[in-house]
Amino acid sequence: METVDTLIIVFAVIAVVGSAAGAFLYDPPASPKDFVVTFTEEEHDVASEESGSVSGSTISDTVDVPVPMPNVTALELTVTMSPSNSPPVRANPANAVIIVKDPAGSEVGRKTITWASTESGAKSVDFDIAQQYLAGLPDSVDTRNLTAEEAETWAAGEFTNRTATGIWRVTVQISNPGTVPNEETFAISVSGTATHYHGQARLETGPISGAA
Amino acid sequence: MVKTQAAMGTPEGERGAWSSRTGFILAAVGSAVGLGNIWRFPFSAAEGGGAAFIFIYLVLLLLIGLPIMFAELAIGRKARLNPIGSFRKLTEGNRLWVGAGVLFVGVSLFIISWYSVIAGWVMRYAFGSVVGSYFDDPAGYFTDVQTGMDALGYHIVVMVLTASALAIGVSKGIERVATIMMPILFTLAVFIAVYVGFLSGSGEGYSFMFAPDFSEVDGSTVRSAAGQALFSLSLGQGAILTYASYLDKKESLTTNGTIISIADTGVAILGGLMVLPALAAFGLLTGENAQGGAGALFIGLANAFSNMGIAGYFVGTAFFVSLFFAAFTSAISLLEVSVSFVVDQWNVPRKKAALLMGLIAYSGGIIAAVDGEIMGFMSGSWTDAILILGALLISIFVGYVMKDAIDELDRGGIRGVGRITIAMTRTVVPIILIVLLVLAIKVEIVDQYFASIDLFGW
Repeated sequence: METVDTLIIVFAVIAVVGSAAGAFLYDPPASPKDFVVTFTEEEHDVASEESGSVSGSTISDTVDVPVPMPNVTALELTVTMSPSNSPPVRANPANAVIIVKDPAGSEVGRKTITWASTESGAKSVDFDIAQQYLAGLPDSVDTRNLTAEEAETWAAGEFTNRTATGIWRVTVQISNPGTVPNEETFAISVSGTATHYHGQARLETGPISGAA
Repeated sequence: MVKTQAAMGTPEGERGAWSSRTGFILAAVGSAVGLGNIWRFPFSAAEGGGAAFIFIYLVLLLLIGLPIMFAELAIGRKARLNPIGSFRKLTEGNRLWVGAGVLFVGVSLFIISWYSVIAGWVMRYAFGSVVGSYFDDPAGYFTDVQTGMDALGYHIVVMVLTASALAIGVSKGIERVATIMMPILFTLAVFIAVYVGFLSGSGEGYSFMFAPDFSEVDGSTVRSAAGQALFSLSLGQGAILTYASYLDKKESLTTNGTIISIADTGVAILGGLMVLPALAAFGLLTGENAQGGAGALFIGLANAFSNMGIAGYFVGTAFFVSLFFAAFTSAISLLEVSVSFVVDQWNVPRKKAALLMGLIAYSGGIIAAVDGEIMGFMSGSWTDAILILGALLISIFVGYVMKDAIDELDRGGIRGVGRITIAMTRTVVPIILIVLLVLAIKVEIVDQYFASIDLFGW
């Protein structure tokens, strides 16, 4: 048998065995890598109530947080709000309801900050969006005993509506703002980190642009 | 005594020859035009100051790209053998130069092993575009495509097609594929470039690539432009040398080499006119997309197609079909280097040689198809240094070692170009390439893989 014929047989065997080994041994979600990016903090003014009534009025505004990356499996946000009036003059406690929505428009987080009638100063709340995701896993799948990493990997594959690059939206609704005078301005800032999977177990780096 | 192909008993028909000048040019352009024209050149231009980068690129194309192109063509046509056989024949068996030939064959075989996997991705995207498979979830689709059974399956298909084209022969296989695919590629590329030009918001894409900004020009810009001038032309890997070995002695190497270089540059610019306006029109020319590479095409551009509505099916299909043609014709030239070696040196039929080298290349690519990190390493920029080394060896060989190089370069063409080429390959070209090689070793190898080791004190 010629040398070339022997080589053909050898590499044919390698090709077949290698393909089979690759097919059977390959485990796609075995060791995904994530990368963490931070987006800059920037103040965003909530529109003030210019002529609202003393009580029962609501002011609201929306802060857009561009996260130009797909497969976001965790988003940690810190929303900080600072009332402008100090000392405050309110007839009732001011309540700020903070709602976070993903690019698909689904609500993924909601928390409230309250300032008593005489209370001033900045307050903040933290959102760990990954918890929201994992809490929403269908029962039929959630019966498995997954590690946190496995669960995130699974979530990355399942939450296809969150694979789109887009704008995460933080909406703030404030009831009972300042009453004397009939306006109160709240400064709001959003900061945080996003974790996502890009491709198959590939590490990507780089800052994302945009801010609140 | 060096045996020639005929003396070794290789049937004349096994080696083959181009049937026409047009066929050779299209095949060589097909070799030069590859994925790099689409996913590397436009973004390198944007990063390096737009028109400023393109100007530097054209200057370096004249200074190093064309001389190396002419030199590879001269070696191949003079020896009429594969790289190893060529160096052996022209140096009467000098082992060091035979080793250089081994480098070319090895590098081309290595590159085709992973390049085939990526060509497989493109093929799947071409099919997927017809039915909009990736429209709902481009990123998720890319995750499915790039590794695993899907990648393996398409790797097999691409390698079978590539080896089949080579098995059929130079004229009936390689040349016929190029004469069919390259005109289609040009036509589709022009169609896409015109279409995306009419999309609202596409203007940012043009300024992204063409707006001159000399403040962006620095050492890395020059290195990038020089690298582009070499790699985009498929130089330093033996492909052009091998194709030239099938070229008629009456043909002008310098004229044909110039046409190939101009066509390749034209497609690179056309690539920018397709990709960047499309990304810009949908606000996708940001973040990772703005950096080019696979993500810009397979996620970013796929995302743009998915936002085009019904037109996205047609434009997406046209784009990925043309991209596949570019990748496939390059894959053919890469595998041909080693196939020609087996045909020439081992005196075996072309079909058997194509089968053997196809199997070897496929086997080498299996690991890249199943593991994304290994693919990332294999396709990493460190191979740039190897290709620069290859180009440097070509320059030194033609400038200082090869006999009658000027006659070979001037044969059938404008007299005097050969003398200028030899003068450049003795002076300017090796100096630039040595600087590039040192920088490439530092940036692409030492900094990448041995960052903790302070080798040079830099």
